[in-house]
Amino acid sequence: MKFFNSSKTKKLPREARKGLTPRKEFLMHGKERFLTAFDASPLATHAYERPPYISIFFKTGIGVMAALCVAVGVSAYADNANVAATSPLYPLKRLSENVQLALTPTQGKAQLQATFAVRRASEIDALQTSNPTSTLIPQLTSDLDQDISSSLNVVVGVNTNNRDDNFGRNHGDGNGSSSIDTSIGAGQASSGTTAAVVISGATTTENSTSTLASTSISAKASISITSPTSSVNIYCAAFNMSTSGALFGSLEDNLNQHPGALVQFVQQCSDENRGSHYYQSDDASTTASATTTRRGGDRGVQTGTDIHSLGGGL
Amino acid sequence: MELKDLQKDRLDRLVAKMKKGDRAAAGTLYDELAPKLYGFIFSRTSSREIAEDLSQEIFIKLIERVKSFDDKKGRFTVWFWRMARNTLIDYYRQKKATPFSHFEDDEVAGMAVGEIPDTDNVLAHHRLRAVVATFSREDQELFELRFAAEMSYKEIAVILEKPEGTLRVAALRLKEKINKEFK
Repeated sequence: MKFFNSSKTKKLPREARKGLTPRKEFLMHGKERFLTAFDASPLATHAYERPPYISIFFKTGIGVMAALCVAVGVSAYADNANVAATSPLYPLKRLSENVQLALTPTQGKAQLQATFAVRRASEIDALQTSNPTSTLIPQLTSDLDQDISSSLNVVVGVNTNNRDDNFGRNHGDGNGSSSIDTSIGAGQASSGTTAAVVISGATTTENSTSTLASTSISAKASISITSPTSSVNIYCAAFNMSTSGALFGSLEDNLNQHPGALVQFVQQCSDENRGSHYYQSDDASTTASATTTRRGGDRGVQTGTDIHSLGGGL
Repeated sequence: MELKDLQKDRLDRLVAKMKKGDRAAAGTLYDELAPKLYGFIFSRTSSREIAEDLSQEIFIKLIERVKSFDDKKGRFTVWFWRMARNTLIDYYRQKKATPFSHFEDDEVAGMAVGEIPDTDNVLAHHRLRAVVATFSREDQELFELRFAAEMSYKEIAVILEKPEGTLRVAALRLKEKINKEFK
């Protein structure tokens, strides 16, 4: 009410105000003169008059860009720091991984997904150590399985057309105990990059029905990649770690869907599992040397047998 | 918050833009202030020409001095009307012009309507001038600031350095006299 009362007390009666009203011509010409003087003043000399809508878009754009920069920066940090699954930054790490995956050409996706699979395995291991009942473990296990499955799909397709990947490996002594210390040495990949994978496992399980996600790698072994690697190396090495050869169900499924790749995979991996210390690809220019030391005896025959049996009716 | 406060905030925003070189804001500021400034000067001088000239002079001063206005030290309206009042005082000192109530009726009529007389406005001005002439010098100034320039009591209190409550009572008394004349 104060609002209305204030207005009433300020205004004169309409008739009285007429006595103080300026001419319209004066207001019009006066404004022209005022703006002319304004234009000639230092105020307007260097001024840039932005249309309001541009100003709004500009401000909004700046805000969005700033938010994006912060999000990208934090994601990059979370990714580089390889934060744990329990970290508040973990979702950003996964987001960063997804972005990387989306931006990577098909040829490199397998490599990347294998790297992510290793990360998941490492995260699961860490969680199982710190909090075995964590509800994150099943989710991470599922993610690991998916990473491996997706990677394998790509790897299989790639290797069908590019058979000059080669491998150099150093295996553990295979002494028959449940402890395996396996390392895979350097090899020259078709892309010209040096592949080197080191797998150091604490324990593997003698479980013929186990899957990579549930036992062989994620739960029992820790894997680290020391330099650019070939995804096949990981799968072969993981495959070799299994005493049964039926390392994981998804591997079987994927290989069965790609018969040509299965043949190659079996050839590559089974050579190793048969105890070959030296693998040479079809391309003589791409060779790699390897030494195998395995604790607990040679399980290659059994594994090799199982690998061939994966092919089913092929 | 009252409407007048919102209006004053709006003027503060306009002048801030004007200081940055915004021509449209300068134009809007002129539209807001010019009629009130004219009424403020005309109520004092009773001369259309003088009111128009002084109005123009004050707006030129606004352009020249607006950079010195610091919104942290006070509101723009107070700064502006203080400048207008001082300009008017300076004018009287230099010209020794006659205040509003001292003009003769014929003289006022001629100045008020210009070349094309507006009978209604002339009559209104006559009647208003007659009432204001009965006010004391202080009341005339209050009349100009409150009813011609349409300033708030708070702002007038700053300019005249008088308590807001006293001004409020005095202004209501003045308005009653004017209303009685224009019934």
